[in-house]
Amino acid sequence: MNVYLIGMIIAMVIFLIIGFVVSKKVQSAEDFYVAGRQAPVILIAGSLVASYSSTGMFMGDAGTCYDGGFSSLMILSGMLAAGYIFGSIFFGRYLRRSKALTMPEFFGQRFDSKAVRTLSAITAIITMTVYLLSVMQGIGTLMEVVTGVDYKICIIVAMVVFTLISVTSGSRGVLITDTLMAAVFTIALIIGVAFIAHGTGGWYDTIHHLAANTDTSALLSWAGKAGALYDTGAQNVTWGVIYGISWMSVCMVGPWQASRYQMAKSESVVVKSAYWSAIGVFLLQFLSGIGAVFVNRVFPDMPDSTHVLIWASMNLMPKILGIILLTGILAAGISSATTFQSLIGSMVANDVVKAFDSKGLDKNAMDKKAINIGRITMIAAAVVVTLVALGNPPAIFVIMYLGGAMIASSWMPVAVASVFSKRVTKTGAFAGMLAGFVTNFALKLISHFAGWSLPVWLDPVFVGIIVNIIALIIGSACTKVTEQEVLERNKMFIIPESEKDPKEIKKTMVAAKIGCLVGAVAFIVCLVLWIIPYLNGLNM
Amino acid sequence: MEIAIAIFIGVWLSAFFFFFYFRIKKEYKEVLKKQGEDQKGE
Repeated sequence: MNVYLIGMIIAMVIFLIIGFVVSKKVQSAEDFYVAGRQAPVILIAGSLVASYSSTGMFMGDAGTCYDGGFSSLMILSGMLAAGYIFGSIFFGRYLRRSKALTMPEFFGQRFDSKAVRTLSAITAIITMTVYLLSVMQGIGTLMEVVTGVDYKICIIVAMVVFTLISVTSGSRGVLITDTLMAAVFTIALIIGVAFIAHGTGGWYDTIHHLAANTDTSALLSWAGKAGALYDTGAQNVTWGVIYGISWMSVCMVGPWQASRYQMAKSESVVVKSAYWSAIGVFLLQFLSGIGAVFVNRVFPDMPDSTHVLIWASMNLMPKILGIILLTGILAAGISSATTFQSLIGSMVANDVVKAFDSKGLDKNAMDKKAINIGRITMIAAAVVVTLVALGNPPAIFVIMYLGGAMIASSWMPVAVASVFSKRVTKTGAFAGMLAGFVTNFALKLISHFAGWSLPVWLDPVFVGIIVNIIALIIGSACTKVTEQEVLERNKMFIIPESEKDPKEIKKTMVAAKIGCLVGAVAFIVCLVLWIIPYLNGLNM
Repeated sequence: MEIAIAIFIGVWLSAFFFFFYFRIKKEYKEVLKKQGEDQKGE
């Protein structure tokens, strides 16, 4: 039994214990699904960061950076971070005010439509199941590479662990374990990347060396290395912008992101947690990406670039730190998996079953039934995804991006319109969501099986967003806004009395002022830690 | 061109944060103004 396996087992046991302890406090559906709506900034921000960061980032994105897509990933990361700000202020607050238990319930209320509610639940469930698959593959690959245990056994063990956490403790436990996991992998990554830089010859020396060498100078250039994503700089930048919009949509309105705001103690918690998440996610993407690029100096031509940070953890840093970082990456995967799983369970229970089947039950009975259905669904989803993960070869990066893209094309235009548009109707919302989802999914499948190589500007996510907007406009133009829809929209903008405490307002305003520095921080980080040393290296 | 990317990231994020700051400042200013008027009335 190697030390990495021991470290991973200890971490999983700790998370299980926490999940079990928290489960004792779950008393109602509100506790189970939205943590009783009492979560403070640290738990909301921790969960936002942990739900975003998964094996997809530490393996898929890191591999892409190692191969030469660093600049495109930085464009994407900078753009998506803004999604937290937009999402909290222009969506998250209203979501929280609606008192909906899930986001499909919010859409159902806003458009006074069971059909919209059910469709949004189904699209979200499919998307999160797909994303859960990629996370499971990532976890399985990570554990197999690090511990030597068979991939299939690793998948089953991971599935049991995250299912137990989600099923027993619900969202409160998921928030706490998410935050702990975010703390572990953030601290481990910061220290770990410093050691990677040391192991490759020093931060600035490594960048100078990579820049000066013709084989590696493209790795940190604006154009990236041909073939890492696309062949030309213009195509790579376009990819970064399109997927920047896609992932920004996820951070704005994605169920595994925006749903965290429903658990917040107050609207100022929503606002404050958003900007911490924005800077946190950007820095994590930057550090994991540049750390992966550095490894090229000591181990070029790695057979599977998704293993780059795993290799670095085992070869370029002290063993204890390597164990912590690898455990942190595992934790990132498990935290995302628990979030997806708890959301899948809550949406099936709340938006598919409960919406249509209350059979005259009182609230307590209905809550109990909903929690039980949620738990059964979580277990079923885990089993189905595990069976698929056991059978399919890993394709972490592609599947993860498909999951995010489906939310961008099906939900984003409708979610933005639900807040900003007085003219959008339930018919338009339904048509847009369906058209965007089907277009993206169909184009992706067809291009994969037919072997098409679509130009970057015809990426399925982009086409899906355009088709969604067209269907939204046409559907709304053909129907009239009902009185109930007008009422529901106007209700969103009424600030609750509880949010009018002058002291809380002042805290939020101070936090917002500090948040204005985030752009400057990101700019300085890029300039000092990447661009200036890179340009100096080119001149050497 | 790399510097252009850094500027783009900085400006993109800053624009959202500034917009966000002024938006909620406007909302809360109206709330605080109304509270002040209510207190004067009392």
